[in-house]
Amino acid sequence: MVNRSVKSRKEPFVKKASTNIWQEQPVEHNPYLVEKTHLRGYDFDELTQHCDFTEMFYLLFLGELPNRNQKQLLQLLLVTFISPSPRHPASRSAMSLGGGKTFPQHILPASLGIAGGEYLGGRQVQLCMQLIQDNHQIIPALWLEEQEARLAEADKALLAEGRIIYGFGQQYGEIDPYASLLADKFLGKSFSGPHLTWCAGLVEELKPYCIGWLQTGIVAAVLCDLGFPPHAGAGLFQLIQAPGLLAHGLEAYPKSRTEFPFVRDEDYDIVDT
Amino acid sequence: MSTLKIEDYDRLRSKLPNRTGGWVPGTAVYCRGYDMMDDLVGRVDFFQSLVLNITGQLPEERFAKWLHAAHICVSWPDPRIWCNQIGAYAAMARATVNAASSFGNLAADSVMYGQGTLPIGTRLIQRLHTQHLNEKKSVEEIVDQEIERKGGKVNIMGFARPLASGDERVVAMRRTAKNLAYQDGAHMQLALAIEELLYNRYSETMNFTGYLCAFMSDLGYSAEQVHRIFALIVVNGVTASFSEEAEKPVDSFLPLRCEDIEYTGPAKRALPDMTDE
Repeated sequence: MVNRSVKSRKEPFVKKASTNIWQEQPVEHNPYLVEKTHLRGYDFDELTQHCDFTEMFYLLFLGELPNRNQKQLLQLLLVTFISPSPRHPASRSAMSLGGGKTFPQHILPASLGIAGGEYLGGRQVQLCMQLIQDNHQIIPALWLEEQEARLAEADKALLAEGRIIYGFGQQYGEIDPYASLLADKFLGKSFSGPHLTWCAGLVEELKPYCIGWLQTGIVAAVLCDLGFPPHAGAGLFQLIQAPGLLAHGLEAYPKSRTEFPFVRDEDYDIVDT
Repeated sequence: MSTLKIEDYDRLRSKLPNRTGGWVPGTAVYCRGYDMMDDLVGRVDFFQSLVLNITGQLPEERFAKWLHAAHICVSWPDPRIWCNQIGAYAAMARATVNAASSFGNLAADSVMYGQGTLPIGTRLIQRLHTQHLNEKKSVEEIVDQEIERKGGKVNIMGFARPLASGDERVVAMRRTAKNLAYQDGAHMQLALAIEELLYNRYSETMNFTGYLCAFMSDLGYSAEQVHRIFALIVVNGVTASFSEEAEKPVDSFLPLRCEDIEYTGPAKRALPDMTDE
């Protein structure tokens, strides 16, 4: 007889949370107020005087200051993907939030949530990073050969959305030429890494399937080259795209509601089910 | 490969077909063929209308009563629970109640607890049921297979839970279902058999997710529909935690001294010469 009565597991929870990132030194008379801070061991005051945003970003997430190649790669990533297209669902959400006069503090978090999706969003970056990390030791042509049976049976819509070979797919029924252009910015440079190179090889092999880069695939490969784990991919993608989303939302905020399209009643077709 | 062509996209640029319903100004608001104001408002329960919107089918009243019970019993006013903490922090930060409720609810889209477990649990019990029925796998074989799949850990979605063993919510929901004259279907019978085996071997029982996923599977709902129907299931407790803390002074929710966060990173070090790089 199963007894469902509740009994605490008395798990050994720690008394304090811990962090490798940030250290605060309190003022003498009040243990809640801060006198001095260190980031990853460096005096924060000194960091603010000598480091730029990219260096601080790298240090914050990866624990060390970047070398020249690492810095160039991260900087190119941050500027290249600073904003999704205004036609991306997350940008459209930001504009809708702004135009709908949502409290401005909600524009960014709500649109970032949409930028976390499995199609052209953060979740796709994470899953692509997992795919790359699991397979980048195998030559792309061989890896694809192994996938042949799976691809033959795969749902074609999911394949096009980049949700079978995560990060690689189609947009509007074709290989996205703009994503290919963006990928080229990162390839063949002194800072190009092995994961991105592997993905470029994979893209070549995927041509017969009419599958190419999605922007999420490029971000995923670069994040792998920078040394991030897959679970960091979703949030980092959102963070990288955040400035563009907020910019679109803020631009929309002062506009009147008639400055945005609204589907006419005669074009709104309630399908009889 | 894409199911749509350029001409399809062009056709959809300004036309919006919708199967759920919509507003025809001056005429009515329609929902799945019903006139909302005349047919639904004051006549059906909120949860009936939610399920109608999601599935296209208006469920029976007792199912709405069961859904009400499920939403009450899983959403507690305890700010130590992870999603509820977000509600409390939102209050401490003097964020709006909508930020608290929305982001606290979002916190439960988790693989450890809350709504995020529901599609996983539903797919699992449906897959195990198929194996049990079609492949004639015994309950013991199923449990062994799932434990092996998790590298020897007793970590089967829908069974056992964090913090405590046992689950008072399952007891309450089984009682509620019985009072509403629901019989155990094939998925629930399998879940109960798995629970019995896990209890005898490891003293672990079915948790709320396991119960809910088996119950919903017996009614024929898919994993995606289950996730959608229960999308707001923890919002009640989150809002309770927000309301409690919003009345208190700022910085008073479990205040932390500097020393209360243990620094485990690199020792203090000097900056390298940044001009080299």
